[in-house]
Amino acid sequence: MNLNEITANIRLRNPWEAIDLGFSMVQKWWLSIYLPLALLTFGIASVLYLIFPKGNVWIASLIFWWLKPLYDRVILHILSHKLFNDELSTWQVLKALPSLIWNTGLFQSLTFRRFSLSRGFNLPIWQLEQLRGSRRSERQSVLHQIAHTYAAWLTIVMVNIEIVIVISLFGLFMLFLPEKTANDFFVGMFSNKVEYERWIDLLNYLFYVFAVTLIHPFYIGASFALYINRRTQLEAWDIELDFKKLALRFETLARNLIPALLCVFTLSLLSTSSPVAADEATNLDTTSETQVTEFLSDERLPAESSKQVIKETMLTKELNDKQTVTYWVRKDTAKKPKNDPDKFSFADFFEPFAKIMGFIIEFALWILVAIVLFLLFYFRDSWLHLFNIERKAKKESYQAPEVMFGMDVRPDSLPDDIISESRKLWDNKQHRESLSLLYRGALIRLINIEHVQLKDSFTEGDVLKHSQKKISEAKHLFLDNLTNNWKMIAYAHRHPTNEAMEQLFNTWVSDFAIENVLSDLESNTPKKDGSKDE
Amino acid sequence: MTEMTNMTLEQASELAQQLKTEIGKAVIGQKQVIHETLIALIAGGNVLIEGVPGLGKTLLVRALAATFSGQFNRIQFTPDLMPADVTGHTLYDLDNKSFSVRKGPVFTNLLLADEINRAPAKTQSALLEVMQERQVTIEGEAHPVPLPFMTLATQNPLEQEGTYPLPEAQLDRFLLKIYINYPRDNEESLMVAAVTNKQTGNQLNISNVSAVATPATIQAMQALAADIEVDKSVIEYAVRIVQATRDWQGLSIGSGPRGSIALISAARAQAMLHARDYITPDDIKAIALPALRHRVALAPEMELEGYSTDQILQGILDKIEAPRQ
Repeated sequence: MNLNEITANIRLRNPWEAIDLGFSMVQKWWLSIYLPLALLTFGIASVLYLIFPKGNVWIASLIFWWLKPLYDRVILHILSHKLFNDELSTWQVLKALPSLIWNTGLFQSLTFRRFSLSRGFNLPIWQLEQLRGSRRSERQSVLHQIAHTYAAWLTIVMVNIEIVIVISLFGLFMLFLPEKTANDFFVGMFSNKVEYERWIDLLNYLFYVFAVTLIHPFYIGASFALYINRRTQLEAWDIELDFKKLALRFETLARNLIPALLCVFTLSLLSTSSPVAADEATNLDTTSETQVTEFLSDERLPAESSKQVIKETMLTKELNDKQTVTYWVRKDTAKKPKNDPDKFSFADFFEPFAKIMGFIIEFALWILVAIVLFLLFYFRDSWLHLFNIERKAKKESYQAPEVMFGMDVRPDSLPDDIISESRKLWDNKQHRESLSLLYRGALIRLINIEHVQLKDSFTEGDVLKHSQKKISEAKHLFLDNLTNNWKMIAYAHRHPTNEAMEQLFNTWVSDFAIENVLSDLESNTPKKDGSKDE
Repeated sequence: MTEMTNMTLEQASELAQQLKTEIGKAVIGQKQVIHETLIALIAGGNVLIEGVPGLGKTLLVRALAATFSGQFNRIQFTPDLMPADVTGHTLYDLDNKSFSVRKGPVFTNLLLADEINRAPAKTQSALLEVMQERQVTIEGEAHPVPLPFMTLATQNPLEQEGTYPLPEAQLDRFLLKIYINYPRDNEESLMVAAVTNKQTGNQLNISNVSAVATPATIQAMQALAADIEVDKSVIEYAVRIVQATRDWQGLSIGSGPRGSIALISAARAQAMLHARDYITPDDIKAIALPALRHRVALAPEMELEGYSTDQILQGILDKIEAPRQ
């Protein structure tokens, strides 16, 4: 991304202005956007129509709607290249499709993020910044701080515009039908008696595909402009650009200064006309002019005359349209016929009781609501955690890692018999290797058998602390002892005595790897001589 | 009083425990603060203590000075304090007809620079030389300060009106930045009982703190700590942490190489307090927050979201791979 190449006028805008910029971008580059997009959308729509024929076109519409995130990616791909002055051919766009499908988080967008209201705004983070995981969510939360509301409203408005366009096109089409057919159709529609007709389905489908193809670039363009504007706010792109232009100007000035001075000097010696060439050299246009901006008049009016223009504009018919609204009012609401006072009526007799009962019931209901709210608040701990699905799932789905601290911690990476292997190393005076194997063995046991959740950032002390509650006291004591010996050899380069090591070997078998022995005993035939595995 | 200049590691660790016990007689609670201050003393560094007024910062320094019969001076930093008020100045002596040097309050073992951010940068910078070089230059002549020397500067996190935030260069000179918090309930009750018992007025009572060491012993402890072994992998771990602060999202300024140096020297002191002659990654982790929190700056958006430097640093510690061989 080279800011120098940017083709839009980058300045700090309010979010609505930014949306306006997005619309302008789409209008400016409409041909580059609509050609590949139409190929894609109408291509997909045709395939879907062929797959779901007669009576099931609504499924095709649904799938076409569901695939909107795919079109988002194509539009953003084109816009982002155009913004940085990179021309893409239709073929290049279509060729980029596979990478857009695989590398832009499309799967998430089509599944659990499909209903995100800020989908368009978030897209550049996935597609252009290529951030994932916690870095993405941190970035997103920073970008969302000011722009989220606007991005969400933009989505809602754009969806509505699509619907409006579909209905309008349908209405337009009806205008051209013979009056009776159209009339029958509308009456049938409201009385739910429309007979299935293939052309209606097809027409609806076509109009919908057309509306999406037409409106969607505006949605993505505006979302992208909102994103660019937010980044301009955060990273001061406008100031950076101004500084770059300034630096370029100074550079040109410096480059031209010496020849200019020489020229002045020579010309003054020759007493000829003034050095126009030098002036021209310094006035070189060093900035690339912006290509896309909002619709602003070329001429800037002074404050007084602009006030006048605004006043005139405010007097136009469009802004002063008055309407007279008439509606029907019931005649008998003013005067209620009074009942005959002599005539006994049950309804009249029970009316006061009914009112009192109604009041009591209403009051009781409100008290009930208050009690329910209070109970919900009081027992919030017992139900609030149910909403914490993500954390819960994470906790449950903990899987033992395969590589940790740069070491292979899969169980099968260990020799079958750790103790005899370690003992062999110790006897060969490879003290460090021997203890390292033992410590690695202990970590692998903790991860895979004791299910202690370890992280790469854990130091030896952290491992001890986190395993304390997960393993028995005897095991923890052994681990403590092993860790101390390991730390001594790793960081102080001193190895333990042979006796201490022997004790470690023995305790490993008797205390630490005890469950392993038991399970082995259970799975194999018990050994009569009582010798232990491992 | 113990007069040991040739001590073993165990003796040094035991002595450090005694120092803690003695300080604990005057400063009730605040165990972490005492521990970190001792680390800074043993590592030969300076500390910046941040906390609201009235939490016993002066008492801590006086008690610490009393434990090793060291000299103690206090400078209350105010906006009109001049550098010469801190370092000292020369004066013309009419009798001898010569200039004589009048040494300022920095010539001491423990210097309490109270509310250091109330003085302008010029005066704050007067401390730079003594903090780094352990000497003061007056009229072009360098005067060494008595050793061991430690500056304990305090600042108040609440009142920012009319203060001059410490410049980065000066902040970097502090080995540790220690947060002092309100005491716990039971500690506060104990403290109130101890302070008001047979006391008139509210002067600080350090009469029951007895000296258990001498300045020479402290220097011997410092020498011992400097001799503690450090494995290459531990140094690399410290450097990895410090380097991560430089391009970490959420931090606008990362720590310089002084951060890694501070981590290792503070970890050495920490190892010595635990009577160990080598440092482990645990020592680095334990000391990382106070050693780094004043060397990094939060990104504005993180500050707006209410994150603290400690939270971000903790995030780094949780992500940086610990050394394993």
